[in-house]
Amino acid sequence: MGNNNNDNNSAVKIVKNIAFRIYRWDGANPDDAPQMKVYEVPVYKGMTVLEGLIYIKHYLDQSISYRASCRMGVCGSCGMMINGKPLLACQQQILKLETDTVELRPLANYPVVKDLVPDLTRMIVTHQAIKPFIIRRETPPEEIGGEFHQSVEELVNYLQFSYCIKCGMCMSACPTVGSLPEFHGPQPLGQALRYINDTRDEGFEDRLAVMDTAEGIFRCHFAGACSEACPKGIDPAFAIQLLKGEIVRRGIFRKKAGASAALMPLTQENPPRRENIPTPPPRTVE
Amino acid sequence: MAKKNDLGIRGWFYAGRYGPQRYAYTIQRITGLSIIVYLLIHVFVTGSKIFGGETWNRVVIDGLVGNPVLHIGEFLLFMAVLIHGVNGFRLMLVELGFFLGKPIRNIYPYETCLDRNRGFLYICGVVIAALAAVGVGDFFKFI
Amino acid sequence: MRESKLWFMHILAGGLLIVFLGFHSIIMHYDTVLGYLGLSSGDALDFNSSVLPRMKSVAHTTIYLILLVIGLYHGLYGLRSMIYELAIPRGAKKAAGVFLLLVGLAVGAWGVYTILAGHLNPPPELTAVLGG
Repeated sequence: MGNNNNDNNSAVKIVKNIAFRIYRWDGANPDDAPQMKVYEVPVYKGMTVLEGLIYIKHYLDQSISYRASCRMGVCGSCGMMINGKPLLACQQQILKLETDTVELRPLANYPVVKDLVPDLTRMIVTHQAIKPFIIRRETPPEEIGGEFHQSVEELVNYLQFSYCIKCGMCMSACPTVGSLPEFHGPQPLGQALRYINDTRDEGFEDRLAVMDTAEGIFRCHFAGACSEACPKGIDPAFAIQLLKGEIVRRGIFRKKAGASAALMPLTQENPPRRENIPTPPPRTVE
Repeated sequence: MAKKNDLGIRGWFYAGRYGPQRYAYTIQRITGLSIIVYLLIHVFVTGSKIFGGETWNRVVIDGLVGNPVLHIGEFLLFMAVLIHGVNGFRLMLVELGFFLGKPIRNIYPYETCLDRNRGFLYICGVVIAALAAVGVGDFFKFI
Repeated sequence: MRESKLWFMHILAGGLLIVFLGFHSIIMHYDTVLGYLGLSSGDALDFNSSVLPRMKSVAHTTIYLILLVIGLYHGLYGLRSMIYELAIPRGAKKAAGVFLLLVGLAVGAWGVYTILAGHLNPPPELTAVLGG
């Protein structure tokens, strides 16, 4: 206990002490009321909220739980409500918050498992429901045996939306997800557009059947909180509005979709695949 | 065992530290609710005109317009319609995918459709303010 | 009907409302300004000079009918969508949707009746001004 670690690390200059108010609740003792515990953390310049949590776990309270892995904004594990807004703990510098207390709560709109650990099942299930993979009408993609032609413009049309790290923060920012658990939410709907905008995909009708319900995509009213929350610039609000326009054009006005990407002709520059490419491993999930 | 942690209906009305579009959503919701409640009453109140001038004067002129509290309420309703209509014009276009720009390569610092749409939102605010100023003058007889 | 069609009608009705409700609001609430422009016959709520002429006018009757239908649809669909955004059982949501449909039909029927009755069979002019 105590913060005598500073002596070992004289190169780091402590700027000031910041109070971390952290939500504590344990699913093992579900009858206990959740409480906010305060921890005093010495903060140096550039220190992130995640580093503060690591400090607390290391020196102050080993019973605290949080999710984290890569500590550099790639894995999307450490999303949490920092001073009331969903942020990645590993990307948010403590001093940049410009407050003397940092309030940490688990991501809203998900059930809490323990302390700062949310249960993201809700997002994963709806993400699966919108079929987040390339759908081809005639042949399954793994049997096509060639490459599809796609221009740079066609790529940029969906590239932005394909960087999703499934941190789930857009879902906890969304006011509709907050009151309607059945709503798909920004993450799955954004991914639906990522595949619908992909010229290789032909699965618009399949996804439309999932989204076009009374509790589906049209319960989005462009509050835009999801795009503010997204740490990767996916812009889910943008994706959902584009998707609504696409549904109106194709679903109501019966506008024909553009031709889907064709296979590249087999030429000297684009030779057929060699024979002995190993097959992918068997599926581990259904 | 997991604990529920949903925003609930509180999230409709409490926009916290989010940006102006999030507040516009909340305002759109509150004004919309008040207008539909008014419309249902409005149909019956103004329907009294078919019973002749005496009924009209008793119900509308003496009952509603003469009452200073309801006159303020009528002004608030006018403001609600104005805000809901102008912001609704923006939402109508935005929700069909217009005025949001095109998909881009997302390079840090990320630009979102909210940034590209903010100008439109502020123009809506200016239009609301201008029309509201005229409305204030007309309601409270400044002009 | 598919939700996308209901929603698109909601958006369309909203767009039309901006035009028609815009006119309606200007006539009802900018009467002083309209008076300066020479477009208004005074107080928009005065029975003899404003309400009765509007009842007799074909244009106003048409606008009122359009406003009633699209206003009720837009408003009640909006209310329904808020109810569908609540975490209540799906059966309750469906029941609420049917209830709102019935409310819309009832209020709409009364509204159409008053608009048409006022137009086809307008009441006589007011001779004595009450409370005035």
